[in-house]
Amino acid sequence: MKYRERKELFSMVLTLLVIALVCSSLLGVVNALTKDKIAEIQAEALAQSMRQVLPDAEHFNEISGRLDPAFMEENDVDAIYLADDDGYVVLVSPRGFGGELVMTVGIDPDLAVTGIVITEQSETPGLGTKAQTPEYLSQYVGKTGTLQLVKGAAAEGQISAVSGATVSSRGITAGVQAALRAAGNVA
Amino acid sequence: MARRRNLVKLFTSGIIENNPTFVQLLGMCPTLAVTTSLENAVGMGLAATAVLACSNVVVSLLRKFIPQKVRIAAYVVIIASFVTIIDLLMQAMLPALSKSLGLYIPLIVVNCIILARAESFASKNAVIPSFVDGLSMGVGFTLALCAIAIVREILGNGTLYGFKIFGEAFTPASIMVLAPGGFLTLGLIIALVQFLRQKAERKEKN
Repeated sequence: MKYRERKELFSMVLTLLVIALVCSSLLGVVNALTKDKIAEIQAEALAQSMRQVLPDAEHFNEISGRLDPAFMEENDVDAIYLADDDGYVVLVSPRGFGGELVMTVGIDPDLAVTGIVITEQSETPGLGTKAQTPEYLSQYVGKTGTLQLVKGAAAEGQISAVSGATVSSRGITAGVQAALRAAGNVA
Repeated sequence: MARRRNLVKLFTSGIIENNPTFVQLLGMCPTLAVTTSLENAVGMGLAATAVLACSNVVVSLLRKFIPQKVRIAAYVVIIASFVTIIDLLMQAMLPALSKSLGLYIPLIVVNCIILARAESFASKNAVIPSFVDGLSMGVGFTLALCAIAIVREILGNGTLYGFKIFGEAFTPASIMVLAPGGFLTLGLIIALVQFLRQKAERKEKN
């Protein structure tokens, strides 16, 4: 290898190395500065959603250890919390149309749904998001056992899917169903 | 004075005659993806502008040190770092916006506008013009996104910046917020921009 070629190669490697080093240390600093704040925001959002689905509860203790890991994996159950005598809060992440729907589901001691909050979603605006309106979600409140999702008008005990948002409706129903099962398993 | 006038001209060029979206047709993927609502368009546009300006400055500063053969790799590392920093800062300080843009922020890395400006402008020009070019392209991109988003959000969702602007009687055409509506709006606006540009050119000739 000629001297000039070797010099060129050396300078290429060195420049890239220096750039990568500077960039990664900068990233490290920013990450260290924002890490706690981001974790705090996420914890606050979670706590808020739990208060929303079980307004009377004061203490939430995680009892995910009481669930079978294979069951959690299969049903997209992320965690379950026991809220003393007020019931359970289950975190589920079923598949919607545009990816995971992260939901917080409140369940009372009699294993009926008390409320649903969707914390993260990427459904189609104007279509899939119609299955997230308070009116739609209120259909689940009070339901227990096996949920029945139907197209068109719902009879007593059934849930009416949003037309044009069938996949999103199905995703939410699967999530609530998984939450009910999880609560049933630990009850 | 002449220098300042050149900078002003450089700034307006990215917004009008060299608009990255409508004239250069760069960055189509984020353009179609985020323009379902005006709020997303503004957020994505401003985040991309910040990354563009920063990466142009750094690339311009380093233009004499980066060897030709590894320049693209170096630019990508620099851009990716800025995007990650902005992503983390947004998550910490603007959680609501960060949540609604979600996936799109990391996608700025592969937004070809940023790499294109680093390669075709910042690597050949001094720091101040590069910064102005970055800002100008960013503002042009933001305005273009807003133009498309306004049309799509009003027709497809009946809202503007989240506020309902029609009564209950209006049924939004959902196709406008889906991918086909994005292509339709983009195509029609590009046609309009080209029409106006040609008209202006003809006027100049006469």
